[in-house]
Amino acid sequence: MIWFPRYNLFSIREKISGDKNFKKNLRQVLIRRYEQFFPASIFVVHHYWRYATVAVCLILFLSIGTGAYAYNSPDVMEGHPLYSLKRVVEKAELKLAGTAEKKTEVALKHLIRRKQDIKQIKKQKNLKNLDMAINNYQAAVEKAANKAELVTSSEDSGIYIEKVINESLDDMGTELVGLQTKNGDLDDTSDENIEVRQDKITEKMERIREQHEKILERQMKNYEKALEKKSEVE
Amino acid sequence: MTKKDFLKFYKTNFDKIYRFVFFRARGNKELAEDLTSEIFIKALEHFEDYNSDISRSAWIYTIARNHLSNFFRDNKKTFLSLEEITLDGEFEIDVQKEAGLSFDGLEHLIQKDAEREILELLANLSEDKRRLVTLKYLLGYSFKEVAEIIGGTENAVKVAAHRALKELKTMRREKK
Repeated sequence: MIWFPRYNLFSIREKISGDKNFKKNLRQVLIRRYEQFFPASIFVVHHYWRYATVAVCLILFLSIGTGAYAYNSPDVMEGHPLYSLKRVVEKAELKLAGTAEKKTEVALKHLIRRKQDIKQIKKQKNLKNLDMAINNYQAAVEKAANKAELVTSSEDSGIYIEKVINESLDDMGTELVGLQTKNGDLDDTSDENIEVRQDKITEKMERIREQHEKILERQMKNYEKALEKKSEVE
Repeated sequence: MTKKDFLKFYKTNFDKIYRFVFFRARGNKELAEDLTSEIFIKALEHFEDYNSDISRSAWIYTIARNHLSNFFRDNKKTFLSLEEITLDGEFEIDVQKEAGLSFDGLEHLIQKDAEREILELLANLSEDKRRLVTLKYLLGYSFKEVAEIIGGTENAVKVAAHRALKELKTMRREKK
């Protein structure tokens, strides 16, 4: 009869229970003590603050990490999910550049990056993205030229900027010739609209050159004005 | 750990700790209540150290045991003999010594012959088995909690408790 010890021990146990009033009073005492020990607001804020801090740090770490990767990686180009982030970082970089010279320097850096994007995309034979990449390149040329327009302090730096832009355009022209000849990298693709696309690209390149020439003219006028002012002062 | 957690913890452990203290205080209700209050206040002061994932009841049990040891050491003349203080069993009322089973303060509670008999038999068990049976059947801990307190696995505790009860049963038969 194993139930005998079990039942009787249980029976004793049930008799030895704390008085209900004592239990209730002690509970109240403990609640008061608890509130003294851990003042509600501080304790709760502290409790949630820890999680919030960890979450914020994690988000910051991931954002900075992803942003840095997107900005530096040559694989992040038109069509990549992080490309928009890369553009945002570049915009911020341009905004943060202090002087006109710095801004031009950054714009030129971006121009070279867009040129590299096109080269990469061309290798991947992705015509759709190439189209977009050329648009971006066009925008980058305009931006670089516009920024260069503001640099009137030194003729040498103006000439240097023009040289970079022109070289870039020439380089791009050579790069995109491949699209128009049968020996180009993209000729192997079976896209039926390839010729239409090539024509569009040629048109775009012509437009870029035209715009650039206009900007160049304006820039020359600025130089002349600056020189006149200089001679007047002297 | 929030207030809600502490109150839940209190609700879960109150009866077990009270019984433990009550036995150690030889059925002195007032003393048991004072000591139980002190133990829970101590637990509250260190509640940030408590991790329910690591220990469910062993944590407060250890606090209670240490608190009682300190208390009886400081008040040895009033409550216990030096011999009793060195014992680490839960049933520190030296049952064997008190062969007549005059459980001080428990007489008004233990009135049935069967209950007296089982306490008498319990006193004859080995210290480990007595501790196990006391924790499980007198104080009301679950097998998992007993395993945490005395160390070992839940299954081992289950087997040992079953054997201890069987031994009590055999002892009773032999006595008759």
